[in-house]
Amino acid sequence: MTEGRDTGAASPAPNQAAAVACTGLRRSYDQVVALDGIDLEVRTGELLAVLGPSGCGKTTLLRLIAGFEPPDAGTVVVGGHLVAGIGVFVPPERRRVGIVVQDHALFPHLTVTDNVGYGLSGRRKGQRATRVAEVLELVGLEDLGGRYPAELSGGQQQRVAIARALAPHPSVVLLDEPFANLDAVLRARMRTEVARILRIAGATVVLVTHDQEEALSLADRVAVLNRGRVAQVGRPDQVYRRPADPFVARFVGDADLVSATSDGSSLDSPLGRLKVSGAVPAPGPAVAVVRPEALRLTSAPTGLGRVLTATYFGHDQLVEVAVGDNASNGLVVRARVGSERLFSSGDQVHVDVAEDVVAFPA
Amino acid sequence: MLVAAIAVLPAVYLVIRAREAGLGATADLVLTTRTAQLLGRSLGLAAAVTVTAVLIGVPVGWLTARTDLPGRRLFTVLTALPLAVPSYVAALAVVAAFGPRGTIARWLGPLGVDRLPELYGFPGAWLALSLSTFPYVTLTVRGALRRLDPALEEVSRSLGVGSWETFLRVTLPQMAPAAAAGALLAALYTLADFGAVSLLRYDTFTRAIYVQYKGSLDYSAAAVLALVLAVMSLAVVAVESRMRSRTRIVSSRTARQPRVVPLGRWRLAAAGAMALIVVLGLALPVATLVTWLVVGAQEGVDLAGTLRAAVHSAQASGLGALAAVGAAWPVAVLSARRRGSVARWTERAAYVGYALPGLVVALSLVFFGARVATALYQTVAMLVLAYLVLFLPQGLGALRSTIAQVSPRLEEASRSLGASRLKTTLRVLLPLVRPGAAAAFALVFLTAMKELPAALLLGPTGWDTLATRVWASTSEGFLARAAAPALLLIAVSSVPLVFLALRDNR
Repeated sequence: MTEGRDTGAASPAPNQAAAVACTGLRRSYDQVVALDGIDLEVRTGELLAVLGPSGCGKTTLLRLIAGFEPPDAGTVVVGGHLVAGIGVFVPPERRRVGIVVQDHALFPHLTVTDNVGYGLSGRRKGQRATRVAEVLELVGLEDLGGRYPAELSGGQQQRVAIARALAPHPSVVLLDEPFANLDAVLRARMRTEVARILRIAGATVVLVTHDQEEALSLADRVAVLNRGRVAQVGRPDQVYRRPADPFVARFVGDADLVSATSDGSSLDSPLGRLKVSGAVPAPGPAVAVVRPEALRLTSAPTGLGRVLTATYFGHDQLVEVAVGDNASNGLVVRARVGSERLFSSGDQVHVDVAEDVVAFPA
Repeated sequence: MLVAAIAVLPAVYLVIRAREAGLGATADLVLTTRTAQLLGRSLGLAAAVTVTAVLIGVPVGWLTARTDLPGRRLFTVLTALPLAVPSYVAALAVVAAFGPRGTIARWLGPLGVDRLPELYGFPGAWLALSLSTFPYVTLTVRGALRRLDPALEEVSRSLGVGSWETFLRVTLPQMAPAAAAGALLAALYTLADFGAVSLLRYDTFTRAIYVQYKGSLDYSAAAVLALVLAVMSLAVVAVESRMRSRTRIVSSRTARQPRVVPLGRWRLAAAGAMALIVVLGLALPVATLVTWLVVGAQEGVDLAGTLRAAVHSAQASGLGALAAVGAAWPVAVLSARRRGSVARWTERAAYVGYALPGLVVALSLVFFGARVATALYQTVAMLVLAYLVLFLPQGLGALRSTIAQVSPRLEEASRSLGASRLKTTLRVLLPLVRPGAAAAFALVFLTAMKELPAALLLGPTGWDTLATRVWASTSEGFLARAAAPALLLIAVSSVPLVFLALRDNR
């Protein structure tokens, strides 16, 4: 560990508006590269979701920002202060970074009040009690201050963890897969509830998750990580509608990749001629990203598609269709269509692409 | 039910015998200054040993679990091994090392030091028992530290609390219940100990009971004293189980290893302190015994006698382990598979042996044998019965956890495929539980090998085991003759501890 200049002293901030700025962050564990040069900014007051499959390095990124581990290379700036870089490593207790982890990590030997007041030990007693009461009210637990963590439900434990992280006014709050251990009903409720609490508190938040729905619905901006690199950063709709590469397209939302040929203005594909939104690949082979909801199916005995499976979801159905004369080298796409007319295996259908697609050079 | 009856037999019989003395006489016996004195000594020794065990055990546990101590794995094993040294062997080693004619005295003699501080009595008993019991604290503390969620310490740091303060406010409170559990084990061990206090001539309850039993024909007096000791031990166990149910420990669900604490310039000092503990607790006893073995070999050692004693030990322990595991089986199945008061009370009854000192069980079986089961008196069967009572809890603990791991669904599946209850037990449960049962057998066997008071009181006259041989030789001052059986006992008992410590350290 390079515990060099062990100071919290301000180094000139590269960007005052950024609550956190990471530049060129690298970190590997015994030959395995977890972070491979991460550049990322978290703007003050925003909720940034870091989204990626497991093993993409998102938790490592969080641990480097929190100061639980030093980076191999690169710098971290929190609240305008350089906290990790060449010869600089500020320990976690001097970074003003709050963290909420998956299992909450509430101190089991302390009451709710003492847990929340834990990070306020420097303040005067009255000030401390006021702040504790304030954040407990914010998370709606003002009546449970005397309880121990073991006496709380999962949702209540999560609120305590958030209150504890918010209490010392951190520059940024890091949430590490906070909803992963909650059951489906509670998860949906806690998501909206936590988002509400964090907005009222005006906190800057980094939410690490592998759940694209969570990222898209909660975040102001989404950073998609793949194999230790940032694949794309943008507003949720940008990431979904204009994925920067085929990985992002497939990871954020469902998508099938369809081989096509570009003529410089549109694409020729087994699904017919496709109109492209955004940059059109140069003439030659290309890949089109086809979302299931962009497809329309019509029953037609002469149609080129044959239904393989149809799964009914109530509000809609997901239909797998083999396209082409020869199913063995053929293409299989998924279509999410209305459930007023049910398809079944073996139906011949005509496949239409009703929306413009995103395309990349092959 | 039968098992439960056997398990509580000694306690019940002791009450019967004590009552024979008459209520008035009992009261006279209990309410004497002598009893008060014994009580003070037993509790005083237990308190001193427990405090010492905690003062040594907690730092050793933390150093071996969480720091970059040099030779961490080696120290993990070596600091667990003193548990393999039976207390009477530890006492023998303490005498041989620090006694008036011991190793240290011989080294210091030429330097003009002709008198060492008095060893017999409290100092010797305290030293020997502290060195034998601190690993209880070490093992429980290390277990707690391993289970501790590393996120607790990280979150504390991120809330602006430094590493030293985090240790005090988070790590230490999380270790405390485990340390307390280990401390109570040490206290229980001290209260029940017979070998060390007898050899070091410190009058506690156990020694007084034995002297009363051997020296006078008034067995009721011994029974009354034994009853008082049993009550004391039960009180300690009750405190322990209360504390255990109150602990608030969260175990980590993440596989992440906790951060290793760099010791910096304290590394060597820590290693030195560890080495000193290992030398005192392990190297010194073993080295002393080896020296005596060599001395004895020159004078001609009774190899045949040692061998015969070893065979006796193995016989009694083997049968005892078989009986304990066999008796534990139905109780374990009952408690792992059924709920309800019968299962619960049977299990509780089986645990009585855990609270009763070996001497108390042995004594009550002596009374029982002399009066009721005369056919068994003075046979090895009586000793096996004692081992059954004493080690049933150990066997039960090991078996219960393995049986609980076998899903009842497996048995249900077997039954639905047409296998009878018996066939299901034989073909499904037994093969799955076999490793656990073997481990339980080995554990009980090795513990029984070390057991002293029951072997001393219940073994047929002239029939000696390794343990009684060490005891007899030491109390008669033939240290050379005690060396071979003592070393053999340490070697045998070390095997499971090495496994335990290594598994713990992964």
